Amino acid sequence: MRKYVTLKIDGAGIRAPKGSSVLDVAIEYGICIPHLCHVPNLSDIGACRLCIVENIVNGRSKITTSCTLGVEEGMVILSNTERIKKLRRNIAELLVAQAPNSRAIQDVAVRCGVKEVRYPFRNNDCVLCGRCVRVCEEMWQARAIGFVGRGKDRRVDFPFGVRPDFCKKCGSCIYLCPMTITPCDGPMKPGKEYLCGKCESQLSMASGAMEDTCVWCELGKGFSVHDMVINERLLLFMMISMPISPSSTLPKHFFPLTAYPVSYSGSAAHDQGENCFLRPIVPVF
Amino acid sequence: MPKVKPRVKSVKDLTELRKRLRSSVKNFKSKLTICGGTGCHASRSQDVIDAFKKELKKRKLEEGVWVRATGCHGFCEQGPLMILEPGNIFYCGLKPGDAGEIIAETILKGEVIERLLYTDPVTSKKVRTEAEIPFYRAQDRQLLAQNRHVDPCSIEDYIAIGGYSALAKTLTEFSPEKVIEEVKISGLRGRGGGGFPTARKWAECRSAPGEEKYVICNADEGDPGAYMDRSILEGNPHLVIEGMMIGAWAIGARQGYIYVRNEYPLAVKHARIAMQQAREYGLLGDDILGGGFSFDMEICRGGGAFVCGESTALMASLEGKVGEPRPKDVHTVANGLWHKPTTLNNVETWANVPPIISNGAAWFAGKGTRGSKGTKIFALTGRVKNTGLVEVAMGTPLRTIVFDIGGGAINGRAVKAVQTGGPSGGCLPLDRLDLPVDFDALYDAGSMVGSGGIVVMDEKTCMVDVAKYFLAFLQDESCGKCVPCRLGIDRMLEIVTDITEGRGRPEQIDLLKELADTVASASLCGLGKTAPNPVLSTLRYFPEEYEAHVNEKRCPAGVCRELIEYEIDAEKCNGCGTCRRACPYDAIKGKKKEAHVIASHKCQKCGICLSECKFDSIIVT
Amino acid sequence: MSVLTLESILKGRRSQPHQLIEVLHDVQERYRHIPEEDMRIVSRELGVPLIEVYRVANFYKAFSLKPRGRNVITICTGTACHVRGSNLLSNQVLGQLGISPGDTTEDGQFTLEQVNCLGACALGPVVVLNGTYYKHMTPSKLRSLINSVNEKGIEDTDDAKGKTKGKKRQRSH
Repeated sequence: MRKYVTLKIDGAGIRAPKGSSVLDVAIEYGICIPHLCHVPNLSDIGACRLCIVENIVNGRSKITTSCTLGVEEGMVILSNTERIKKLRRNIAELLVAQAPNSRAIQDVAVRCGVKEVRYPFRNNDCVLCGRCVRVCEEMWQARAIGFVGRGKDRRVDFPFGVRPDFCKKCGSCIYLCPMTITPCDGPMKPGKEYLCGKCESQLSMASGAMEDTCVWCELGKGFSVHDMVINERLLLFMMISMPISPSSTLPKHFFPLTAYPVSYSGSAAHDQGENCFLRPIVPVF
Repeated sequence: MPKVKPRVKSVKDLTELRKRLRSSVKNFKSKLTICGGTGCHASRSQDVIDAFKKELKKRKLEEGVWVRATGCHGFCEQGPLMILEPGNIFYCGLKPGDAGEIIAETILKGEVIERLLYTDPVTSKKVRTEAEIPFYRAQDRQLLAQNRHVDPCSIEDYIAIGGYSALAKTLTEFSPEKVIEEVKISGLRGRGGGGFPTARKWAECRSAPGEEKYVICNADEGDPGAYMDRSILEGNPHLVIEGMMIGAWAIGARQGYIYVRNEYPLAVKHARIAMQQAREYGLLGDDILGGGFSFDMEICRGGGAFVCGESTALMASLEGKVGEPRPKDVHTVANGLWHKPTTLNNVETWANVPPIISNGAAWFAGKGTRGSKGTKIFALTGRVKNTGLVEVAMGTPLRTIVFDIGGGAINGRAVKAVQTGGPSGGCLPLDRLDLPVDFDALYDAGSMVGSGGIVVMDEKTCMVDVAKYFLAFLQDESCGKCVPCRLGIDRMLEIVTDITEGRGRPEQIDLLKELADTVASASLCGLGKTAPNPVLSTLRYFPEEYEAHVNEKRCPAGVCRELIEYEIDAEKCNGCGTCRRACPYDAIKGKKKEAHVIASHKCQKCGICLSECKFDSIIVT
Repeated sequence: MSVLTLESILKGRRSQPHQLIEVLHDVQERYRHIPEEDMRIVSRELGVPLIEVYRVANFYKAFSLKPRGRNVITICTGTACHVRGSNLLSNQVLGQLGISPGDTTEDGQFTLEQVNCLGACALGPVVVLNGTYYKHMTPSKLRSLINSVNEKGIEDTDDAKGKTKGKKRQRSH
């Protein structure tokens, strides 16, 4: 007998199963919250801090990551206030300054509204999101890699730096890594560090279409007030209509439009799901 | 002292034991209390203690004179020090060679040795007793005063002065709910830095579901410049143990842990001995004092990580893992050590509990301000005359601590800033020193009471360099899990380093503020959340220093290496050659009795020559 | 490293993962570092995944993976000592022995460590050499201290304390 709780996210009343995290619930209902280290079916560690939301408790707002926040009855969550947007933008800016040579990270940055990078670029090849570590530990229980070291010396490594024999070269870690998919077309050259214009996201930004919101998804602007509780049956309908399989990394019709209790001023060109965080830019299992 | 330790099975046994111990002590003619705390230990007080024991043995006076090595008395600058009874005579700056003289003159003849007495810096007169010394006069030494009377390795001492009577009172008169109520009325707030109301924490833990609960003592004390917890744990471990037992009774815990940082081997040793002795007496274990309360404890060492002072990281470390904090959306009082309800408090918080029970909550609440009750121990260090441990009532102005107790800055310089709260706190300038030490007042001013470290800085301290120092410290100690802390502190350090090396640009100051806000709001744990405080407070109170560095490429305090030059004033230099020999980089040349010259291309501006020159001939521009 | 000594460290702690840090402390104390082979044995005996043992050994400053020198110089870099000039001491060691914090001299004589507060703040700057505390250190005192270890191989305690400043060196024992 599953228990449900009712909570409000951005004004929409939502019924969610107890034990799920706010981020999971938000994604299921099409509320766009940027994230990087979250992977469905793996544990959430709250490392990237991109999924932060404001949790209003007793009139005070606490900023916390939605991936680690469990849903509770009567919770009030705001996922897209000015403050949150600004914080997300700064965090994404830090990330892209650290590892600009990954299209995925650049996309994350642009979608969080980063317009300029005010720090000198560094050419790191790991953002320590922990996806590889968690898949090796939780999915395969091999524990062949882990986070080693502290602070800025933190890195992902094998024990003693040597690949152990219980690593079966399954490739899951490489598959999930945001740095290894679709390498950047315009690699950083010393002296020429800039966000190259070859990313499609970059193009839309150049056209000035969006303000500090997620580039494509107008839903990111927040719901207009329309309280409706989505019930279990509709949820079931949504789930059935989604083609989910491990091999399909690009589900096109993830979220049927009819599920949303909002009216929004979306542009006709909005291709719901194409470049939204609701469709993860980095692959998932 | 009893050789065979009788088990104390009831409160009556305890009271009788106490009477016996007290009467056995009365037979001594003289009592010597020599401080064996950290500071005096570094001043070789152990040699002094050994010398006394040897001399007494030689003169066959062991039966009449009681020599006791205790924990820290607080006045570390003047160590090694001792107190002689009868007469309460205070001797300081002792050397092993003084033992014979003190025995011959003071103990046998009752005469005071003038040169060993403390000199009052204002009146230049000699002072006889501890109570007359200005350093001690302005304090309210509720906790620290006990250190004088107990040998930390002797549970008998502790019982003789009334130890474990609070526990006895609790088990016989108070229900767990009543204990929590007493602590609530007292207004005790956490002394480790958070300042969280202790009673509320205990109540939440008590009501959390589960049979198995834990109490933990956080003796990690990572704040550089703070050593209060060390002194309490080293000097009076039983006070902490008793406090934890009372707390465990209130919460319903049966197991306790003391997590001590690795850098405190003496504290680990004394706490272990204390636990062992308590077990022998039956004060730890099953059915303590016949009250149906069973409780035992363990000591765990840290591994050398500042982040393990954070509660979830500490618990991870206790579980044998790396000390990485986890999000606290579910509080540790409900889900802590091994996912069980856990109450974690600081050493000083636990130490305050037995006095509250013994003297009553109203006594504690009678001191301090509306929001911050009781007394607090501070570690007064830095460029101040009287360094040491200071205990004052909450609400005392900082000015009193720095000037009346501390004696002002050394070398006649002016106090520029006072840093409170360690790496999570901030720097307050001279004109804000009327602020009281109060959790809320200091927080509003941009600093923190923190664990209690107060570092005094003078005009030769560069505030931008201080910000850089704290950022470098935090960058080193960050666990690295979350982006804002790991990358944010790194970038802040990059900017501040640019500023101290002459590459600062005005827009970087705004970037620094924005980045500081991001790190403070979005970090996972307290380390990251409070990391920007040193930067923000120095920006707030000393903007002119940042401006000098950025706009004029000048360091007003003469500290930042890339912005200064070392030169020798040819008129003052007499060619003694001290600097030439001291320079590790061979950058000074000159013949004997002739003015020396610094080769600026070799000079690393390390400052060693400046510290060695006795003729003030080296100038920094 | 002898299996027998590791045996005595592991005694009573087998299959108890939470004892990992205490076990590593004992190994570090005994052998001045934690060898790879020992980490594998500890992982097996305590029931902790190898990567976890490796992580813990890397995370905490108390553990070193490379052998430390015979004499460990620890300079306190806490706030109070910093404000009283502890960086001068680091510079002194850099100039005199050529090592930075964390490094060991080539002959294995000295290792330089920095610690963020030893708890003796009132007497800063503080240096610990092989477990003995020295207070109010200055670069020249540190220079003498290091020299005294160099010349005799073991510490000459009187000279090391700098007490013989200006006086003739006396053979104390």
